[in-house]
Amino acid sequence: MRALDWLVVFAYLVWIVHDGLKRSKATDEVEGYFLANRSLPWWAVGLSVMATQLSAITLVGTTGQAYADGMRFIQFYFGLPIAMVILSVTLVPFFYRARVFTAYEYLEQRFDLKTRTLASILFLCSRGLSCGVIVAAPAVILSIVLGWNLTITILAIGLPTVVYTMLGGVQAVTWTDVKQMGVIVGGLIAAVAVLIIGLPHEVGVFDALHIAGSVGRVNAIDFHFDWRQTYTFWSGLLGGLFLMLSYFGCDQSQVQRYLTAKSIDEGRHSLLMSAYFKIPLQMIVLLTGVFLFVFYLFNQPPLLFNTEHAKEVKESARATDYEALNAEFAQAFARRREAASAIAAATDDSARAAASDALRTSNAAIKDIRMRAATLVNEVTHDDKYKGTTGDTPAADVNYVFPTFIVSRMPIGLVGLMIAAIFAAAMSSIAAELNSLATATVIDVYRRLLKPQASDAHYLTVSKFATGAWGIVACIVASFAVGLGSLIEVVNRFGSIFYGSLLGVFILALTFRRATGTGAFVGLLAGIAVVLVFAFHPATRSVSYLWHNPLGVIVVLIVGGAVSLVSAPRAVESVR
Amino acid sequence: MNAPDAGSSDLSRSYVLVVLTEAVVITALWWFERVFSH
Repeated sequence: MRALDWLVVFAYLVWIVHDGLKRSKATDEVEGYFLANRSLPWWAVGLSVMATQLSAITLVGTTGQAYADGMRFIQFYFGLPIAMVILSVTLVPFFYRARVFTAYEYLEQRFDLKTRTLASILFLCSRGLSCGVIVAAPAVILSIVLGWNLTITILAIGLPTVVYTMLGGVQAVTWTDVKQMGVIVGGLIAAVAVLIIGLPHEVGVFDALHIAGSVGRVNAIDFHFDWRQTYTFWSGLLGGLFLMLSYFGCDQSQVQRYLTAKSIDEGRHSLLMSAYFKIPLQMIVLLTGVFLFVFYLFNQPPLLFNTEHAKEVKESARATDYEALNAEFAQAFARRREAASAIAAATDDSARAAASDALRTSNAAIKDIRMRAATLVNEVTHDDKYKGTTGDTPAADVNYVFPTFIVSRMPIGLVGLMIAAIFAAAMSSIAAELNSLATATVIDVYRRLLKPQASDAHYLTVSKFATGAWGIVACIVASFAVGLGSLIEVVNRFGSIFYGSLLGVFILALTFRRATGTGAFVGLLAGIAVVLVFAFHPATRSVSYLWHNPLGVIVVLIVGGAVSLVSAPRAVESVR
Repeated sequence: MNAPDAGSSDLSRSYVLVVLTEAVVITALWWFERVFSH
């Protein structure tokens, strides 16, 4: 990075922290600190909801996914708009009228303390760990691509976020999210522009899409039903619907966003913003990946994007083998570029079909060379992530494609903007998580179980302390997570084990009048147990995790409903 | 059972619009794939 890029990144950090700290003046009581006194406009809340969901690993990983495997990932979001409508009609009004700080507080009003506490603790464990992963994942990538010290990178992402979240509360989180969304979208538009400008003059945007399409990069819809596939129309629409209902309806990091809105209808509008714009935004991210692929058809990419072990391989006994692969790769790249150019130059369908065949053949040759290179790295370093593939790219490379492009191909100044955009994506997600972790800790645990009668000023102090403490936990978890690659995946899957069951408890609360606290509690435990067995049993573990959510819901409704019927019914009073 | 509350009539129209927009977006994606895949 050059001085101007450093300046842009530094200016971004100062701007965001300063903006966040400005908000701390309006935060002198707990309701203001956690819920902004329910005063925020729908559009700010809506942007905050979208920024929270778009983490750095989503930004970097999704572009890599499109580069390697096309646009199938878009189907993951097909359930989201419908989930937003369902939540606007159901949970949003109940949360508002119950005047709760956390989603789990509502469970005590409807059921009992043990159900609330269990739900809140599940959230704290899951989000506490995932917050560390959200810090770790981009830190690892940036440290490898830019050669930064890993610990310093973790602190550069984590510390400013902790400072403004701790002092400014939810107002700082929301208003910085708004600006961070601007930085992210601005960065993406700049990246797409650079990618298109970087294509040869004779290759237009439509030519680029035709070229990408001939090797499956514009494949967006797959109507085949397959339980094992996450990215199909049905998995996204049905499995994804339950995931999005769980995430936006039962996860405090999202629920807290729309609880800050001025009114029920403003809260609803904030969710509908995601319903309208999430898929188009994700399209821009995926198209960036598609154009990255086309860009690297005409501009030679590195043999492997992930240079984590480059030095080790160069100094090993297999160094000459790796160099031979590099030379073979350069020749294969030239053949592939020629085939891609032929598609753009084709004047009729038969010429285009012949050129497409040639591109597919040469692309398969590139894949073969890359996989041999990945295998070589695996043999030298014994790093197992070099064994898998995503589409036609080694799996270890996917998250490194976009950052490598940013650092090596973008013009001075824009490199800084894009690094700032990656920081923004990470920080907006981390800030929302820290804020919601502190809310659940103080409201569901400290104030409810440990010290119920203290003053508002006392809770405010504890809330700030809790935010800072969770920030430190996130940085510590991040430091450990980076050395344990598989742990990151475990943590990511951990949420899917109980998300559906938690949603089941809320559905039970809203739809089954005779449901009891004991029924909900037993149902929640049964749901988690069944999903755990399902997720790890050899016969069912290949089923996509998206289906864990409807399974959890069904088990909770059946078991929770049955236990409620046989247990003594609690007097049902209105909590609305 | 607690009765759901859809909000104002403007919001009800928005819900319908969301579903219709999604149908249009999915159709557009399907068309996009057909046009550029060969």
